[in-house]
Amino acid sequence: MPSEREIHTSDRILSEIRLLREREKIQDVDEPVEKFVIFSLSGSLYGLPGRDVLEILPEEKIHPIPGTPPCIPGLITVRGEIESVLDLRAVLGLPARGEGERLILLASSGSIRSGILIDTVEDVADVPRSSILPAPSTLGNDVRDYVCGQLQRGDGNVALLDLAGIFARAAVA
Amino acid sequence: MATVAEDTLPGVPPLRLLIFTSGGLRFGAYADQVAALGPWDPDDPHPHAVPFHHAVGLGNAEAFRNPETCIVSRGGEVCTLIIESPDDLVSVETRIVRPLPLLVEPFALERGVWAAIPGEEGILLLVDLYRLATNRNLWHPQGDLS
Repeated sequence: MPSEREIHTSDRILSEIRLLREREKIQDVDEPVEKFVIFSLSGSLYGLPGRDVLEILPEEKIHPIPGTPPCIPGLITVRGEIESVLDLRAVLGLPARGEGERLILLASSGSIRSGILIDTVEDVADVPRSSILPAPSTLGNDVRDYVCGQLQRGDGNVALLDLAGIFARAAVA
Repeated sequence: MATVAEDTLPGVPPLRLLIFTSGGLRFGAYADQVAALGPWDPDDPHPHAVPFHHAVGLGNAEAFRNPETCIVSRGGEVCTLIIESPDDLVSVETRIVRPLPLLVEPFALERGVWAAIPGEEGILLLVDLYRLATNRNLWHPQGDLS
């Protein structure tokens, strides 16, 4: 027969475990999360809020259009509608990419909607807001204006992009 | 009872478009803006003639195969463009015309390109030759050969 002291100890442990689990539940409920589409570009990871990404499309023929800056290589058709395509490399000052498969994220911010050329989609993740860190101060001038935060992941840091800022930059390029 | 064709916007007549290719891109110009078309002879003086691909900002497109002069006329002024021989003259319903995406519209409008039509042969860019001539300063007085 267990001693009174042992029963009290196990009760206390169980009670603490239950309390801890309740706290975790409360934390799960209270901790807001944000969905991010995480993608690679020139060997680095970038993220856009999931609410801004409408669709992930395979790359298709881009039709040039006169007068646009290098960061807007042209137009594509998506189910009969015409969308612009933005070359994020040109906006961020990254070196041009050679041949190879690419993807197009169809994204929108405010009244502007555009395809964005990327290399690959790495993840679509729910991220607790508390784990979104400020943008690092070591970013270069070309990138600093378009990065609004960062995530730390096992496979490297993810620069979170400000889509409205990127579209605004492209619109005056 | 009056009926409206499915692809026609009420009150907007079909567009008559002159279809031609420049720099590998297909363009459709309002046919009503074109006063005359004719073979282009490099020995015939057209001092103000401008290759369309230069006017629209496509850089050095491939050499013309069958160049034609495209005379655009408005209120005593003319603009003479050299274009590739037109592929077609078509009438298109306005409902299939797509506005340009907001990100490209200001840049394209500067070159006269105002809308597009998606199709099996790719995207047809609609160009307003009056707007192109005005924005690129291509008008000159009619009869001015100096």
